[in-house]
Formats: sequence, C-alpha cells, structure tokens
Amino acid sequence: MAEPRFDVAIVGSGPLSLLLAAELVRIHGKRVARIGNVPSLQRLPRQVSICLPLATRPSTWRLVDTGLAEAREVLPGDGSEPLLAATEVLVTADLAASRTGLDHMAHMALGHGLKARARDTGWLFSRVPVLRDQALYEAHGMAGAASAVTYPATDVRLEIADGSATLSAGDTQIDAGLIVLVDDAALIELLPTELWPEPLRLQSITSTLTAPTSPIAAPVVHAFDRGVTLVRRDGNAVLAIIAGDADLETRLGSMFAGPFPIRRMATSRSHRVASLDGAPVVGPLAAGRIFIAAGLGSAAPFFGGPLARAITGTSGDAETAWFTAHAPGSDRTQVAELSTRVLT
Amino acid sequence: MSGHRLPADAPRGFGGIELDRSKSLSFTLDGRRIAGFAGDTLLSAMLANSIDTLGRLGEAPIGLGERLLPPVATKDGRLLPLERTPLIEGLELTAQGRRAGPRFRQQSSLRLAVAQLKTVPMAATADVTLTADLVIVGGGVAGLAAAAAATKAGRSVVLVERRPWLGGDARYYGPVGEAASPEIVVDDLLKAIDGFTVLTRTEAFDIRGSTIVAHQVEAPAGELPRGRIVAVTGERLLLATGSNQRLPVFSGNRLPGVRSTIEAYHLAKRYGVSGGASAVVSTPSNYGYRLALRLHEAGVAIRRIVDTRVGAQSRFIDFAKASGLSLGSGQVPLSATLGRSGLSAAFVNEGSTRAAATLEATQLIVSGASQPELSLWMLAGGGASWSGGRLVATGHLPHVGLAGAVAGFATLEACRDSGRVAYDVLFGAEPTTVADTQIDPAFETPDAATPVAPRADGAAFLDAGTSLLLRPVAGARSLPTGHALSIGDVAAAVDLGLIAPGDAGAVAGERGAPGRDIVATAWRPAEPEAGAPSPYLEGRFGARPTRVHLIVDGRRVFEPGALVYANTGRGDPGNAVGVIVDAATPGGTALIDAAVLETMDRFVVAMTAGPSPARIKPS
Repeated sequence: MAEPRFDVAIVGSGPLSLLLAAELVRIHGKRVARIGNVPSLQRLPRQVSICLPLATRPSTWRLVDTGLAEAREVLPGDGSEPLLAATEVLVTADLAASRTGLDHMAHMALGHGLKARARDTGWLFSRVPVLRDQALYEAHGMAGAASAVTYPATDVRLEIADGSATLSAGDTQIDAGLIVLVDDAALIELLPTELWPEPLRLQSITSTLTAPTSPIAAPVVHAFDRGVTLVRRDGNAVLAIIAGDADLETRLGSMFAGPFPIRRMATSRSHRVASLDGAPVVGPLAAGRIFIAAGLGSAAPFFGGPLARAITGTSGDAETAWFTAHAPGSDRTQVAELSTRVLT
Repeated sequence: MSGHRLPADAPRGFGGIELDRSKSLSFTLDGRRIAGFAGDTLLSAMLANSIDTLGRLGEAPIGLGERLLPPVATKDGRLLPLERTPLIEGLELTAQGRRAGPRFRQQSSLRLAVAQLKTVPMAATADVTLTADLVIVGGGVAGLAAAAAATKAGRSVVLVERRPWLGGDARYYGPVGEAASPEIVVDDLLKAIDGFTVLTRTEAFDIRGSTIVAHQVEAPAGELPRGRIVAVTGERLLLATGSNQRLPVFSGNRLPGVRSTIEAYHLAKRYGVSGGASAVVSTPSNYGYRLALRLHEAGVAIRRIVDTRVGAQSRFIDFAKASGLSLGSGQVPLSATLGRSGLSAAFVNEGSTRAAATLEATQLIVSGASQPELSLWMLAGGGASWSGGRLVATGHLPHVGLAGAVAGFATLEACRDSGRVAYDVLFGAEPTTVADTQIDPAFETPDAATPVAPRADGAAFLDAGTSLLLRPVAGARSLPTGHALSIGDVAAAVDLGLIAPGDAGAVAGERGAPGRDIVATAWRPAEPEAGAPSPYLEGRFGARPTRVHLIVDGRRVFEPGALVYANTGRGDPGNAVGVIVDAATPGGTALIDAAVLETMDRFVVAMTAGPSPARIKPS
C-alpha cells in the first residue's frame, strides 16, 4: 500500500490548528496538511483564548502548563506586541456549589503560579496568558505552521465507510494517515452527531458586541452559572459570548451595570461542542483514521504541544495516562472538571 | 426655479406630485421659520429652503440625507422623524443633538455634532398591536402585488411602508421596453386591493417571531403629529423592502449637495425640490441619464453627465445627446469640495489618480449599484452571501418570504410577479418561475459596479446611512471592529478588499442586524433542590475520600478550595492529599484520602495568604 502524502491532516481554522501544525512539523517532522481558512478580522470571535482552564485536576493543569511553555516557543513575535499577552480574568459563580468548585479551581491556579484574589462573587485572576487570536491569524512565518500545506476549507467533506475515512476539500482529496478534527466547527460540520462520543453535546453560542458602556469589572469576566463571558474592547465596548439559548437575553442583561438600554453593534449566532462533564474528549475514534479534540474550552490553543505528542505516540507516562482517560469511549468517572448547567 | 423648488408646472410632474401649492404652510425649527406647501414632509420643506447641512463630523460638513437625520422634538417633547412627518401649520420644533458650533454655512445648517446624533426611540413595547393573515413590509409593486393576491383570496393584510406614498422606486426605474408604465401598474394593483390596512410613514425596525415591529408617524387631521410603536403579527410575513443605492466611495461623498439619484428623483418628483440651479450627474447606470434629462427639462442646468462606463449604449444616452447635454465617460468621482457657490467635483479616469476634469455645480448627483435591503431578513434569521457584486439573501424561513428587489429582481414586471408568487408560496403553493427579462445589452448597457475612487484629501464614507464609517487609512487590512456596519458598508468593504467575499454574508449578518438593545434584568440561576454533587472531586483523593475537621487554633478559618498537603509534600498541587470543602469556625472540613489518614494527622493547608499548619480536631 502506498504511503499517504501527508502524515496528518488537520481540519480547523482556529489557533489550535495553527499551533498543532507548527508542533507536528517543527518538533516531530511530520508532513502536515491543514484544511482551514483565515478567520475574518471582521467577524465576531466565538471564544477568547485564555490559559485559565476551569479545571480542578492536577494532571489537566500540568498538561496546559506544558502546552503554554511550548506555545511560547512556536509563537512568533509580530513586531510591536507579543502574540501572548497577559490579562485579568474575573470568574464569578452564583450557586453555592459552583462557588465551592471555583474555590478549588482557584487554589489549583495558585498552585500553578497564577495570581488570584477572592472576591465576593468569585475570583480575580491576574497575569493570565491570553492569545491574541487575530494577530496570530495575521502573523506570517509561524515556525512550522508555514510548512504545512494549507487547503481552503471550502466544500470540505469527510466520508466514513467500512472503517475508513476519506477527506476532501473542493475537488482535492487529502491523502493523510490521520485526520484530526481540532475545531468545534470541523466536528460539527464533518462528523455526524451519532458518531459523537459521550459526553459531547451541541451548544448554541451567541456573540454580541455592545456600544461603549460602563466599564466591566475586569478585561475578561466569566459568569460561570450564567454561561456568559464578557470581554472588554476598545472604548469600553463589550464583546459578550453567551452559551445556550435558554433565557439568553435575560442572562445577558444581568451582566451589565447600565445605563440601559445598551445598544448592540453586532451579533453572531453559531454552535460549539460542549462536554457535559466539563472535561475534554481527545483521541482517536473507532471509525476510520479520525482523531478528535473537543471540549477544550478557552484554553484550547495551549493543548497544541501535548496533542502533537499524543498524535505521534511520543507522550510521556503522565500525558499518556491523561489522554487515555480522556479518549472517546473511556470511563469518565474520574475525569470530570467544573461544568455549568447552562448547556443548550 | 425659486430657491430649491422647481417650477410648479415643470414637465413630467417634476413640480411635485404630492404638493398642493395653493396651500402654503410653515413651521419653525430651532426658531427659524420654514415655509412649504401642503403635502411636504418636514425634510422636503427644509431642503426647499436650502437647509441641507446636518452639521459636522470632526471638521467634515455632512449633508442632510434621507438616511441620516436627527429627530425633532415638539414643544411637549414628542420626537418625530423629519423624513416621515408631514408639514403641519404652526409646528414648533427643535432639532435633537449636541450643537457643534456655527463654523460654516450657518444659514443652511442644523449645526449638530453628527457623531452624537440622537435617534427616534424605538421602544421595546408596542403602543398598538394588529393582526393579519399576511403582514407585508414595503409598499412597492412587489408588496402591492402580494397584497392584491392575498385580498383576492380573502385573506387579511396589513402593509407597512416607511414613505408617505406607495409604489416604491418603480417610477425611478420605469418600464422595460414597451411594458406598462409604473404609474399604470401601481394604479392597477391599488384597484385590485380591497379592504387591506396600509400604514404609510411607518418604518419597520424589528422582527420578533411572527411580529413586525414598526415606528409610525400618525398625523390625524387637526392634531399634532405623533409617533407610536406598532406591532403587527401575521400568520405569514412578506418582506418587500426593495434595495438601496450604494454610495460611491470618494472624498467628500457626504458633503451637503451630494445626493443619490434615487433620492434626487423622489425629492423632485414628489416635492418639486432640487439641490439648486445646477447639477453634475455621475452615474454607472442608464437611469442617471433619465434623471438628468428630467431635471434639465425642469430647468436645472446639467453641467455634465459623467458615466463610469466607456462606450455605454442606451436610448437615454441618445436622448441626452439629442438634448445637447454635456457627456463624459470612463471617469469616476475623485473628490467633492465645498466652494462659495456650490460644489466643485473632480473626476478621474479609470486607472489614474489625477483629476481629469473638475466641474462646478450646486449639487452632485451620484449613484452606485443597487444593494438589496436585507436588514429585516437577517433580523428574522435569514442569511446572506456575496454574489454578483452584492449581498443577496440566502436560506429559507418557513413563515417569512421575500419579493421584489430585495429578492434580487430588477424589472417592474418581475417585481410585481415575484410579489404574487411569494404570496402563493407563503400559503402553500408550489413556486413558479418569475421571468426577469432585461433589454439586450447591445441596446441598453448593463449597470457598472459602484465607483471606488483613488484616495484624495477629505472624508470618504463607505455608505450613506447612520454608521458614518470612513474609508480606512492606506494600508489598513480591516475595518474597526467596534463600529456598527450597514449592509452598504460591508459591500463597500468587499470592494475595497477589506472583507473577503466569502465572509461578506456572515459579516453583514453580524453587523447589519445586531439585534435589540440590551435591557436590565436581575436574572440569577435557581439553586438546585438537593445539594449538588461534586463530580470534579471523583477519584481525586484516593479510593476512600473521607471528611475530617481540620483546625489550627481556636480562630483561624480555612478557605474552601484550599489544598491540603502532607507536611513534606507542599508545593505541587499534584501532591495534595486533600482539599477544604467547607469552612468551619474554627478550621474547615477537608476531604482527605483515608489511606493518608491512617498514617498522619497533621497537615499543611495552602491558604491564599500562605501555608497554615493544621491538625485533625479531636473528637
């Protein structure tokens, strides 16, 4: 049987797809195809890439710590500002049980070198690494990623039959040993939901940009039990990312201090993949040569290095244990992280 | 001409078909008396009195236009829109907004700071609710044809139209070849409509499920006009919202005296208003020639008709030549600047950056390609994509239909037929094909794209509406992300290479239909009835995690979430043997691996303020 043209085909347009491609090419010497578009600078973001996993398990924190250090190695500077900046993140909880979980997570963060201070409503985390996604998309020559062959994500199809998978983009068939679906959009568009492993679910996401309003409490505010994340933008405009459709408007309205009404400048509706137990699902599927990475949350870009090792079979013992526990179909009883009830 | 008013007997009704010139009326705005006639709107009367300047954006003067106007307030505080409110004798009004100071054209300006304009409030709650089998937005031929089909079938109809009249832009475009005139088509449709409710001067601004929400200006006889919010719920909704004419991108494109051909047409035809005694007409379309001919016949001196196309063919071009009008071709407007007696318009040849011609006139009439007005469609959940140089509607909504120009139809007959077919489809019939037959390009050259000029000094806007988005500086790769975008802005940004065509539909959907204002709520999640489990602790602290009460002294309280370490293992959270799960006074309840408890009873709790020794409280 002829050797495939590519060792790995990565389907995705987000920052993780770039970082993973860079790691696979630069560190592991793999032949990589990336099927993705350059996200439009005019589109509203659907997530903010902050290295603050809502995790209580040391193994998950260690993985992200490692991935963060590796991301620093492969991310280029773009001249005036580094692509990795630091920000403050306020995470709030309304429910008593959520507050207890958040307290635990905050102490894990303290144990991993982040600064955090308790607030009445939650925790304020300082110096949280944040990836400037838009600048990353514009950056040229990111080590390794530039060596991946890139195909535009137009008319991408994934056909699964008889235990094998065929990937194509437009008229081009992508001949690869492994197909990696790293973006939620890729998973949603290409993988039938009946093939989604438990506990993944489709979740509505609304992004909305407000006109300038009263300053929010921190550059990033995540209201855990309301399923709403606010991001401060230029001139005190606010980007709000709201998970789920139920009570959407009232949940959003509860996040602002006013004055009301607050005008919206833009709104986008889409979907993402949520994990019911708050823990990622990462690994190969039984069907074909497909590898998925889902439910990684806001810290997704910082899984690039560990993912590359998992794909190439070069993980150490601790990482192997983590990936085994989080693989599709594995026993999930001991992987759960913090999870919100706001899901659909 | 008298002032900016065309002669009452101007040919082809260009004296103003809405006016009753036997009834002179007047109102005051900011203390200035403004005279007009019965049939005028407040805006048309102002323009007829040479008040054509809104104010300044920075240092750039901005003209009054149908799509950018301040609300005006009556003495008792009612806010009214200038373009939809009829002129009523004795009204005393004040323009709303911060004054920007009289630096220029004091007599013709409202002197407002354009960046801080107020808007007519579009309240969330309706003053009036109506219901109908079919609700139609848009009173052009497509909307009227749908209304005619519905009333013929015995269905109730409410039709919402923002302008004071019905018929849309059909008269501007006219018939194709020997087809019936727009006047005849509109009259026939109105005769065919029986017993439907029509709300003119009513601007739809939202769709909520099956309900259209609109702002209506009511002007009952003998009473002051007032605005109210009308919610109209229908079994089916039909959007016949037409199209907007794109604004060519050039410096000075929103100066006072610069106006679109469609707006110039309606001002002249409906109200006998023109932007002064002379005009330069810049057009990528044959319709611009026809407007120029009509204005010429009405006494406006046409300095030149400048076509962006080269070698265009049209009967209107032939008529213009026969009328002795000066014609130019292959040139786009480069810049407009204000002079003492009007505007100075510079034109540039295709591919050049230097002005090839400079013309002076009191007004510069410009036009770009037509862009379907998709805002309501996208608010309803419909999509859009870039096709053929414009954003077109995509997707299917089960209870909402599209007809006419917003659905992409161009000719009068096609718009009319599409209204009828859209009605049929909304109520369950199979769709039928609508022919949209254009005249052979050999005889009528198709419209060209919206002109985009090389950069020049002066503010160049991307669209004529309220977004006020300027052309970005040279080298910019994107538009400002915190700025509202109209559909016209998105289309212009595609032309400028700032938005990829493949992203244009999604960007327009996000920015063009941003949704309702955010209002205050006190929403909080309900506490679960039973204590929530903590699955994130499963397996964390051994096979037998055990709750113990830790203390250090009689006062200190341990923080929930704080990690518990064996005396020797502090530092790496992976070495923690437990966690504080409840505060206690003193100390706290910890969850610790039972196997660990068998070997030790003294620990370190990693508090925020630093580590604290801890021991199991004696029972």
